[in-house]
Amino acid sequence: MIGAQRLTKKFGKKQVLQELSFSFGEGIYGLVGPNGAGKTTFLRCLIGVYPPTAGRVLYNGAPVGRKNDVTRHLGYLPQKFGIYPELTVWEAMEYLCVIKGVPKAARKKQIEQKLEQVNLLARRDSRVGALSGGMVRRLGLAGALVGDSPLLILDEPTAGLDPEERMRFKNIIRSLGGERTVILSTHIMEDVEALCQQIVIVNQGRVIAAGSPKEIASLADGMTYEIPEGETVPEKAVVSKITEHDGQRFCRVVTTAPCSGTPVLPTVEDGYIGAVEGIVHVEKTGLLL
Amino acid sequence: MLKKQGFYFKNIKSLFWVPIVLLFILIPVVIGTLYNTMAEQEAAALQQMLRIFQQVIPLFSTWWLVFILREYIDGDGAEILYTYEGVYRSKLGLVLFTLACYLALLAFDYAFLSVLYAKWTSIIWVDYVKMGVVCLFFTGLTYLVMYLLRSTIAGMVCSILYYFAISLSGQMSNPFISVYFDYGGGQTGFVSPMDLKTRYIPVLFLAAALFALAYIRERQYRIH
Repeated sequence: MIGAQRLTKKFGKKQVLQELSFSFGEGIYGLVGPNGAGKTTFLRCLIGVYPPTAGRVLYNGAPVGRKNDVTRHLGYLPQKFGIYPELTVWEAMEYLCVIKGVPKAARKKQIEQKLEQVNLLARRDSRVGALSGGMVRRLGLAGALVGDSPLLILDEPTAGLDPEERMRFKNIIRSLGGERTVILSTHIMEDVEALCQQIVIVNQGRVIAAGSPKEIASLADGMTYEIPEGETVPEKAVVSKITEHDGQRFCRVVTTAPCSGTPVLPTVEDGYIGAVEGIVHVEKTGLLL
Repeated sequence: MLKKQGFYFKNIKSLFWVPIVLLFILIPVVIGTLYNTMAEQEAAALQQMLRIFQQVIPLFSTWWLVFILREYIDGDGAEILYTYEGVYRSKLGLVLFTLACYLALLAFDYAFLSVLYAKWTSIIWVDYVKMGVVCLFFTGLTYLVMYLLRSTIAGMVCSILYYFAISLSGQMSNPFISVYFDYGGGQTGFVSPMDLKTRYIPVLFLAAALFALAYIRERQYRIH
């Protein structure tokens, strides 16, 4: 549905995206990568907010532009979301309906439905400026969902949400079925693992690996160990997590070096860490797209 | 479409009322006071009133624009609003809409003047046209500076600085740098239709140039 071909983006002399190529079809995609990898820039280029320096973005087979405006079919939640603070929650949703082109006859039902989904219906008459950060985020999510757009892009959607709201968010995303493309950009691997059919790892302006959660986890096959805390960690190892079980704490490491720790089955997070830290050579795995 | 405009004005809350108070309370009070105190000197009273108009009316012509565009340029909503409304669409229509609203309301003050000074009606409405051109200049300047410096407050401050620089330096009647028509200093009498052609057509072109530059700058604008 939407994809980039050799997408390059520079800001002055700084190159943020380097000939990035990837296509998103129907389904739920997790876009992950370290800070500064280029995820947000990539998303903004996809939807036309940033014009590419080189390369192109295609939406439904045609280059994105005024005549093929992605934003007409888009539900977007940016990393930093806000909206007119003096409007009420209901009015803010109405405003988003107007600018997204939701037909007048459908607005009331859509707004009620989406506010109910994000648990904000009871606050419909509250001013946006009076909401907490988490509530504003939920409003942003409702605004992205309204109109049932075929393309949904959510940049750090669960930032600022409490655990109960994060669970509600996951249920909402899971319920989005059918012929829709959903792209979640997030640091929370747990969310990605639970929701996404495909995970795309971006680092230094390029897609370095992409695959199902199982495939991403398998990147660290045979390279993941648990070492009791306090014992020496091999030199070329990356600690992905500290775990605790049987009354003891362990460092979970990903390494290609010989290791005295207990081999364990890798998780998505281990595969991700291995790819980003360069421990895993993704070209060899065939997962580089 | 008007629903959206309604949301713009609702969001600026009490700030919406500032130009309304100016146009429907303060200025009519000034008009009434001068009309009563200078009843025997119609021409002088009218000149005084029009001089006051030129001091304050253009400055407030950008008030609504600055506070409405605040969310687009400075606010947390900049990215979401730009995504849905800014990538292929300009704010030029909104800029002109706010100015048109202001000038439409200003017409009531000039109509009030016409009623009080019936024999000076044609002069009064020529002055209204002049005022419209000056407001267009200020709006174009503010629109450009806002997008040039990525700050709505900078846009407003720029207009205020321009006014004070011209006024305090005594250059109100300098035709090369001032868009005003100084009734007290360099000029005498009222704005005539000939003054509109010789003096204010160039200002109109200047305003159009500012709008064009502002539009270009806006199309180059990118969120951070």
